[in-house]
Amino acid sequence: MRHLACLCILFLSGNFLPGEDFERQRLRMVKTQIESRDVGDKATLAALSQVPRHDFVPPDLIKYAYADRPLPIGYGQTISQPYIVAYMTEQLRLGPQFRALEIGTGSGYQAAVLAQIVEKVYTIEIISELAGEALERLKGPAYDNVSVKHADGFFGWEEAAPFDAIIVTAAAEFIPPPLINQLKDGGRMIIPVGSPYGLQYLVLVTKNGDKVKTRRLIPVRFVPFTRRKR
Amino acid sequence: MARCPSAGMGIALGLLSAGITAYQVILMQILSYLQWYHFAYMVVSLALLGFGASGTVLALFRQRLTAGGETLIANLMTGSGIAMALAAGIAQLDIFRFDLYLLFVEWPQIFKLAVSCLLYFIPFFLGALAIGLILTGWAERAGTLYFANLVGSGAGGLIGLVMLSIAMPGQLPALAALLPVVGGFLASAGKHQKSSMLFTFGAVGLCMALVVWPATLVPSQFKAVSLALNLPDARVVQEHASVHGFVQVVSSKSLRQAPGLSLNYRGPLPRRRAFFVNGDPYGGIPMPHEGKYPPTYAYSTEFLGYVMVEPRRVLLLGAADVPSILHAFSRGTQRVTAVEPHGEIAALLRQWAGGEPSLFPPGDALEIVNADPRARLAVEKGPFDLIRFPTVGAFGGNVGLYALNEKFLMTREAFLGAWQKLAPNGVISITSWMDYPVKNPLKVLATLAEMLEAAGVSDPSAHLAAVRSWGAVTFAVKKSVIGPDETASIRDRCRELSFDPLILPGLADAERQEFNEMDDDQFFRHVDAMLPADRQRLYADYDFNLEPATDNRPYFSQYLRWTRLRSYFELYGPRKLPFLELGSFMIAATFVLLTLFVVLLIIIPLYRLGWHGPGKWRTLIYFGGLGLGFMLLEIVLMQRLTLFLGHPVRAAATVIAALLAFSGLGSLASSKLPARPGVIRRLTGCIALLIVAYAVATTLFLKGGGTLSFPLKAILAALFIAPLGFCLGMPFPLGLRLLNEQQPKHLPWAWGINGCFSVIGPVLAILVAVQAGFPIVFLLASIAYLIALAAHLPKR
Repeated sequence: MRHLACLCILFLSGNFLPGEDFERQRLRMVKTQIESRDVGDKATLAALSQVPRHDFVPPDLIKYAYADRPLPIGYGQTISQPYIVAYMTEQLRLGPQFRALEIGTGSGYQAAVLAQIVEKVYTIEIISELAGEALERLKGPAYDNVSVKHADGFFGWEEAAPFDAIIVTAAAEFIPPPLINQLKDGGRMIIPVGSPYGLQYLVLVTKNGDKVKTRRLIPVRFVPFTRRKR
Repeated sequence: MARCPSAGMGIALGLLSAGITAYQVILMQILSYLQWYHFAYMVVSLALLGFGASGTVLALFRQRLTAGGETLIANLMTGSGIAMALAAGIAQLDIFRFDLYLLFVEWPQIFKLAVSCLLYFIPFFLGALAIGLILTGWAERAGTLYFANLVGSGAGGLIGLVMLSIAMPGQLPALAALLPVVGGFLASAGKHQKSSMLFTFGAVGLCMALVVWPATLVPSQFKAVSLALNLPDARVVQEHASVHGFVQVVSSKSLRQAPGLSLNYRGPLPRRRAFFVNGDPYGGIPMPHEGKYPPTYAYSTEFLGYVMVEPRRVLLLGAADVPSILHAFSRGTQRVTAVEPHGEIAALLRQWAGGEPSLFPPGDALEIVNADPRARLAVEKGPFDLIRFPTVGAFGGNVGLYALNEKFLMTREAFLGAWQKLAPNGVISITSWMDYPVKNPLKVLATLAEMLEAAGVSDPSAHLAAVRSWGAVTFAVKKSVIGPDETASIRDRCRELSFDPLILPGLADAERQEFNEMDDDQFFRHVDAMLPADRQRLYADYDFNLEPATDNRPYFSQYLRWTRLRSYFELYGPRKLPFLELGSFMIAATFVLLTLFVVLLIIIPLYRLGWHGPGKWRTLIYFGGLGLGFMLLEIVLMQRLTLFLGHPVRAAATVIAALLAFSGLGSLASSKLPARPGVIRRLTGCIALLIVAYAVATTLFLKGGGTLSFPLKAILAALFIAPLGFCLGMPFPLGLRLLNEQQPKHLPWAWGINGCFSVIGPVLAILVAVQAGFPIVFLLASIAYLIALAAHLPKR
């Protein structure tokens, strides 16, 4: 009976162990939610192990910061599930010399993760309040390679283009032509499709000369939708 | 209480009943705007348990309540009105404001949900308590009083619809509240009790004030309209009240429109004014860019239909998609008929078209018709070179919110109807967003394949083509065989736009992923399996329901297979499970919750009435059967007559008004009949048979009403409903009178049982219609009346 009660508490607290420090939670998150789902890129894993995700969620939701789920950050926006952040980052195949553009800063967490891996991160947020909050969070030496701009992401960041990688965290029903233009030859862009609370798939866009190709990715590979053999 | 109710009581009862029904109608729209339709359905269903709860309270405290007499009844009516006027505003206070999406993240949301349900429950409970006191207090006059109740309810449905078309959402509750408040005034008239009159006048003042200064209703932060209003310079430029949903037009410099745009397009993108209906996206109107409309429409997979035919005459079903109109005329189309079901949206489109005469050939080249697309398809003479169906699915995913919406336009019969309206070389075109797991494109393909077979096409693959972009698939079926020239044109255009052919005569596998790769080739194997005869095996093996919708089960977006729940659980985990098809889960959850509450509400009075003793089972199954059967019928008649009457709202209005009005007359006529078991047996038996006959007869209405005008159609539908409605109105008052003679203590309990089952009925009707189709709902209704009959079988 006691075990059952413990399990209930665990469930209700969103896999959060009371008293456990954030670093331990973060490392557990990387191990159980990300590595176990075949994200193997060392730079990505290291970045997610370093960035304090709890600094990027609303204060009343800090206890769920390392839970395996997206969380609301206000204005109808979300901070993505840790696994989605890791998977999208890995798919961009980032290098230390890269310049990355993020459309949809949100809380700033994805930009913070990118900042651990690449040389320079440019991030654009259309909602002024979120942009202001992200700017505050991304101050300090750990993020001095991040530039935050309050603007319409449709136009990209012309002055800083071209980019090796572009990550669109809140996609529209079209991919803005300026973003394709600002993607470097050989560059990669990733966008999510689907409800953040529901089932998402990702589309990877690659540019080789004039040829633009896409690849539909299934981030929830750990639970692939396959027809069972009968 | 007095032996006879006062003169104003019948009218007061009618007004109260009208107010309750009108409130129910408007609450659905308000909650659909604030949250989502199925949430609205759940909250309103739970709130309607007020009817069942009133019976329980009446059974427990009958003596005390009856002692309150007509003054208490009047105060309950007024109280119901005040609760109506205030509930939505209080539920919007920060401490109580609920958000469906946050329910899965924040535990306090459960408390907020419970508070919302309770707030909306109170007006129904108070109103139903007043009705229960009247019907059980003067049971010997049940025929006349039930007549007032039914006619009032029928009128309330119509009043509710009128209110929706004239008032803004914030004003609606207070407007509806005026009906029971006036009812309360009439019920108390002649009593000259100062406090009661003050209460009534205060209530009238409150309602009027809330109409003039309505509460601010703020939709969920996750609704599309809220997201749009977060954009820079975003503002609502127009708002329109409508029975089809509250319309908002939003303008922002960051709102653009180019669904499924090719990645090779490098030109400017038009801004747009976006339409939202009940807070959900509903197309929009692009704004010219430097005096011109950029041709983004030609850079989507929608090009497919236009390279397969010379489109002289085009029929666009669901015209809110303005780019489709522009696309058609850019291809040299001489005449476009665009059918838009939403009256306000059609008016906005006409307004736009009127301001842009240079875009269209002179004369009546563009006709924007406000009609249900399926009904219009039935009356269009054709022939058309191109018929475009509306886009299926949503880019951002709608998490199955529309699973339980009837879509008569997306049935196998609808596509067959379109096929018959095509010119000899004509084309049907339909686009679907890719979803995850893949469902929508596969069901569209299944529907087209079955339609071609039904049309007698021996080789469907020779008539089918499809192209795929990074996010969407467009299918096209051609009346004649697709020729090599067309195949070459499709391939060329695909290369220009970085799209891939998906289905094409002579297509090689390697061509399918030249520009847009999939994670694996399962999707292609499933597409290939749709065309030959082993489609049935795919239907059986796939974890989601891919069988095409039919007119008997018009639920195109319903994919969930309850038998695969364990598999879903393993694949997606418990947290994402509800989002596979939120609508179905919400309805199922509603049904389970309602059943639990109903059991409680029915059992509790037995503590007062006693567990043993004669007639309890009889009361339970008789009044339960009547409540369930009546509501099953009301819902299924609305669904069945939608095609004939041309729109779900018209069908709802006609069926509610006719069914309740004729039932009221039946109730009045029942006063002349003796309340005897034999009479009741014969009557319920006849009704059970009559329902079976109606199940067959309603299929005649599926063919549509031709060119008849709506008033004529409504009269025909009302006349059709009349005999059944008349009979349906008799058993309840007869049962009450008989019970009054045999077991008068059971009267409040009977009222509560009937109320409880009346609430379960509509939810059950939808669950059964989705899984088994409308004929089975008729059958269940018939069985419900047979169960009621069984209650009065003579004892051996």
